[in-house]
Amino acid sequence: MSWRLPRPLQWLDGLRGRILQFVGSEIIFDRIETARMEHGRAQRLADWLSFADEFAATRPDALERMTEMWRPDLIVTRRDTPPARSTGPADAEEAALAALVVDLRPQLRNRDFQVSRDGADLTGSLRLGNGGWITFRAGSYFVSRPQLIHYMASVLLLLLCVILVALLFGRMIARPLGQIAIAAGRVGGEDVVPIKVEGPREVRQVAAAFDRMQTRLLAQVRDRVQSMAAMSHDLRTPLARLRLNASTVEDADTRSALEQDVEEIEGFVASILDYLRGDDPEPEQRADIASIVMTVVDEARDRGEDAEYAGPHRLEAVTRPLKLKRLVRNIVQNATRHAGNARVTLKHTQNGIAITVTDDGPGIPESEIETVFEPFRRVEASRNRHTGGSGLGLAIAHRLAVRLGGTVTLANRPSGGLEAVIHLAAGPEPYDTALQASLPTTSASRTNANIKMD
Amino acid sequence: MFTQQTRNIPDGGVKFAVAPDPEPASILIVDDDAGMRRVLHRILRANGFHCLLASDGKAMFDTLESINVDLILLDVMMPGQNGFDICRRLRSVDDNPVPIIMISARGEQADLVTGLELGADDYIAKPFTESELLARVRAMLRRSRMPQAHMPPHPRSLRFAGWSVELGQRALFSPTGARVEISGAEFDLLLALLEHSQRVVGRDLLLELSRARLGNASDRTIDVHICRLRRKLGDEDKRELIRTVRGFGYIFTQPVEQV
Repeated sequence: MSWRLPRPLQWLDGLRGRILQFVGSEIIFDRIETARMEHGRAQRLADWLSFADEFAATRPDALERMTEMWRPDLIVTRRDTPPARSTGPADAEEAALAALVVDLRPQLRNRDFQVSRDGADLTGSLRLGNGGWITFRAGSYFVSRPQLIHYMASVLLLLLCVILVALLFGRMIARPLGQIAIAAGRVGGEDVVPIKVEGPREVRQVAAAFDRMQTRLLAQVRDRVQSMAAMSHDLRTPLARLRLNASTVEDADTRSALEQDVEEIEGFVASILDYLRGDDPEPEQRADIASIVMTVVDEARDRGEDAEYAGPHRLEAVTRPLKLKRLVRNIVQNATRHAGNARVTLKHTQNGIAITVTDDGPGIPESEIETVFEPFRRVEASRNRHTGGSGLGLAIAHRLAVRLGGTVTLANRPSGGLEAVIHLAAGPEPYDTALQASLPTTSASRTNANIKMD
Repeated sequence: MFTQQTRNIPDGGVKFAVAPDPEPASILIVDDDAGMRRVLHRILRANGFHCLLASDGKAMFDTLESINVDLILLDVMMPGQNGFDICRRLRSVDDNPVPIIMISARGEQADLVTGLELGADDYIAKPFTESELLARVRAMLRRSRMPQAHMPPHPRSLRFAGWSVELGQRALFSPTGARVEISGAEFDLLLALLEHSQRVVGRDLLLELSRARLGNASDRTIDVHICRLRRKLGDEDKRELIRTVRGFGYIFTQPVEQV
């Protein structure tokens, strides 16, 4: 929209103005079209009647032949006596129609031409120029079908134009709206979504308002995240003091109780920071997924937890390694904490990479399986703080999975226990141990072959 | 991250044989939080270290003018000059090689990398335990007293057999350029082996190193970590990169290039 209407007329540019313009022109057009069709029908009747008038006397069967030709649109019959004049008050519509026909063919003037409506038909009579009378019946005169067929081409053309115009308008409005919808869908992703301000005025306003909303929303979220992160960080200094001071407490029971409390608070602070940190930007890079999963399992084992890993020792893909590590760690911790064990497998499938964590715990009630990914949501049975954790673990996992362009799903296993599957769309050309083995020039193996030490 | 690894430390921390050191090591504690300074001072003094306290960067540099210290414990989050600024100035302006352990409340990978790239030698995340603190301090002092053989002061990365170890990021990259996840303890072990490549490294040294990360490290812990390292290096079956020297320790067989 490079041009601008003068200010008092600007509403015309709006969506309302455009619709009003369209409807108005449509009504006017309809009126004109109806008048045109009425005029056309009268013209045809006038033509036929004057033809009959002129040629009725040329042959004895002239009128029959004409009727033959025009049936069922017009049936003319000869009469020797004048027909009875219509009784009752003259209908204004009939009079107007008669006048119109006479106007169109002046030779019918002063011929006692009269018409009357009989249902959908038009009947009437006319005194012929060279003596005698005819009566006629124009079948289905008031049904516009014949005319419609006649004008079908123009109607279709009109329809086509209207559809085109409607589509054009629709597109003008829908395209920017569609872009706003796409933008709205992406808000809350990695960064600010730019929105093009274009289209009719209202749509432009929506786009601008949306942009402002996004800016405000992001600022608010950033504020909250920052204050929450600052709060959590600030808690760590007093926590550190508390932990170090606790080690001087003589009474072993008190000391271990204090240390346990510190640990619990620290766990909570760490998971809040983890949850907030899900948004931190992290570049994608080629990473060994197997080493990430193995490291997480090893960490759990070092804490004395029952965790096992089964899978390749190397599986390379392009991902965000820090986020993936946090994701796997959260899922494994969820299993070891609530079920007491975790079996982790890594597989490279045709449609990506699957990291499966199964446990032998009680599982999750089917009714709650949908909601466990919400923050601060704990399964009823684990409200107990000691096994319950912060209630953020799975929410963190879910956010991280989304950021990684993957999914995390939970399902109760038929044989008991829970199965969590992290699915990642494989990066380009995943590189696993099988591939490595088939490459003779891998530098590790080459160097190993060269150097023999004894 | 580190706190989790040391979760199962028994009460009272790990008892080390106190080295027969005629002169106690002096440690400078730089922290704006008075309570933190006090408790660090108490713990270190009780364990035979001589402590100096500074509440900010200015006080720290004033102290360093007149006294040589063996180690600096440096808090990252301080008003005014923060730990990173101080670290940078100490290394690049004053050219002071004194070992630095950063203390941060943020425990984030980015902080760790920043600190180490600015020249800090180690990093400890709040809230840490007493035994973790002592293990780190002792490991750092021991390392700084060990002659660094042929190592140039600060190589940025080490290369071997196509692999590369980025010291600043504490990251390991495979010959195909993929980042291989490696735990802090595994990294320390690998570094010790690489620093003494093609020479036998005794178990006692590896054990000492591991204790800085894992308070309850034992001989068995070393074996487990070496096994994990081999697995990640694709060396589990061949055992050609890292070899066991029975009854003594391990040897890293490949030449290591410093970049």
